[in-house]
Amino acid sequence: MKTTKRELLEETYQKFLKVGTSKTIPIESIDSILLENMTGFGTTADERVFSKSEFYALIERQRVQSQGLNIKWQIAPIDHRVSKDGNSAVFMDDLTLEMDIHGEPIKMDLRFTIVLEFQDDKWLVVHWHGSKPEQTESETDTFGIENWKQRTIELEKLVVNRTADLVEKNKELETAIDALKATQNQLIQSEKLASLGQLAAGIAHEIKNPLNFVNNFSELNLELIDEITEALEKLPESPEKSEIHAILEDVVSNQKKIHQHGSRADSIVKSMLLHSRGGNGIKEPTNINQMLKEYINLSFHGMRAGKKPINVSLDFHLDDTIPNIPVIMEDVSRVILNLCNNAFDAMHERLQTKNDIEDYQPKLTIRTYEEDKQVVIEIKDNALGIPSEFRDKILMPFFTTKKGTEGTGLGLSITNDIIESHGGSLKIDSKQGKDSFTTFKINLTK
Amino acid sequence: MDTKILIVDDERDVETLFRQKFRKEIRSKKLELTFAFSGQEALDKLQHQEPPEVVYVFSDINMPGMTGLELLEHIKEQFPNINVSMISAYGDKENYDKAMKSGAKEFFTKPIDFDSLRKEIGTLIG
Repeated sequence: MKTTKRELLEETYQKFLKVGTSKTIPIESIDSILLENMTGFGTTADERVFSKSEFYALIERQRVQSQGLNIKWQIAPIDHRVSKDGNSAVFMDDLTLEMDIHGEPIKMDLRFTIVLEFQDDKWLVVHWHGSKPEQTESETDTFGIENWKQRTIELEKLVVNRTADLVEKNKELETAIDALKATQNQLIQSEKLASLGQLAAGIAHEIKNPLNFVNNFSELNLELIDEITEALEKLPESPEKSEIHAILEDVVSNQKKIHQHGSRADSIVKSMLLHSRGGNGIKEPTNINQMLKEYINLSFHGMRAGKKPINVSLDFHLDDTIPNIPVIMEDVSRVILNLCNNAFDAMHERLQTKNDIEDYQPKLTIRTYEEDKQVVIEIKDNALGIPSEFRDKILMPFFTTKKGTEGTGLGLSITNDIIESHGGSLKIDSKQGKDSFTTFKINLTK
Repeated sequence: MDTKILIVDDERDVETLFRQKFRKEIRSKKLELTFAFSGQEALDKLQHQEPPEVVYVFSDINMPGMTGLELLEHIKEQFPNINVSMISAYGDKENYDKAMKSGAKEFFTKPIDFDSLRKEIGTLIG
């Protein structure tokens, strides 16, 4: 039975579709139904075909890409029309493409149009066009502008968020750098102090030897004078003898002075050696009152010799009955120095404020007493007091109210650490305004 | 016969100090003091006479050249009968342990407590 022209058209079309959607049927099998300079538009931007060979290349590419994918095609015709003279046809179909990607079923809608012409007793594919519809509503947004606008807004939001993140990170980094700088300063300071300590220890040792001679020879002289006096007694009384006695008494008195001051220098050297001995971290029973007197005096003289000397009265109220407490001397002495230096600084600052109407007399009050089986040390200044908003911050590392490079913000933090490592506690009481003061109260366990 | 003691210290004033401190014992011929100002000089003095008259050596530790601890070892090796005690400004445990291990009799710290030194010497001179 001879097929009609119309039947041949359908046949040609089906052949074309089969090869287009198949992975195996050789492309050459449809060579005879393709116009040499056929044209076509695919779904992607670069799929523009202007010859048979370009069409073959596109099919090849499609086959390579679909390897391993289980693709199913469904075709729903929309309109298949033929021109009046029966020599040209336009077919429109809806194509549905289903496949599994990593076990996930995907469904894709495509629109397909094809133009065929009847030449030399056969139908030839002249042009085809496949497209993917945009997922937008044509009633309001034919060109998908809303979608673009939405994405732009989302991107802008994203940029704003990222920028905020960066600003936040930047702030964190700046804080970290500040902290590092402060630590570096503190390290430089302690490094300087350490080398100063070594120098002091070296000097102390060098001084100790000659000092020993001074003390030994002065003792010797006293012994010798005793012997002179003994020998002198054997001589008969005379004005010369009385004169010699008188002079010898003066010599003895001078000799005692030499010995007394020599011993004093010796004890200073000894305490220098003790202090620069370096942290061996051993707790030794310590007379707290004596330590306070020694280091508060040291701080006082340091302040007097420093850049901000002030007249301060030191008011000691020390309870002589408190027991010796086991402490690490180097550490606790540092605590006392820190607290006193802070107090002197604060009182210096108050002196600088012009609006003090009353006669201001800087005063440091130091108390020791026993309370609840603990020994308490109180160091109280009468400076301007600590603002309440700072009170819970002042023990934090790197917090400082001192200007510029004067404070590292580590003094009180270290002070607190040392006291806590001794099992003690540090409390702060402060008042501003009239009768302002700041008291640091250290509780140490016996 | 008087008891002969050798004192070793690089500080020359140590001689004046000791001679005056022990002047009574020296005057009464109970004690004879001799001095060396380095470890080597001390060894030379001891080796000069055979057997050495010195019965007791007191030596500083920190000296230029031969240290007191090295001198102690040399003396203990060559003259095991001579007593050696150390006198040092560095009364730390390390020096003390080393001295005792090497056979030192006593360890005195500077400044010298002459009462305890006199007591130590007193056991020799009776």
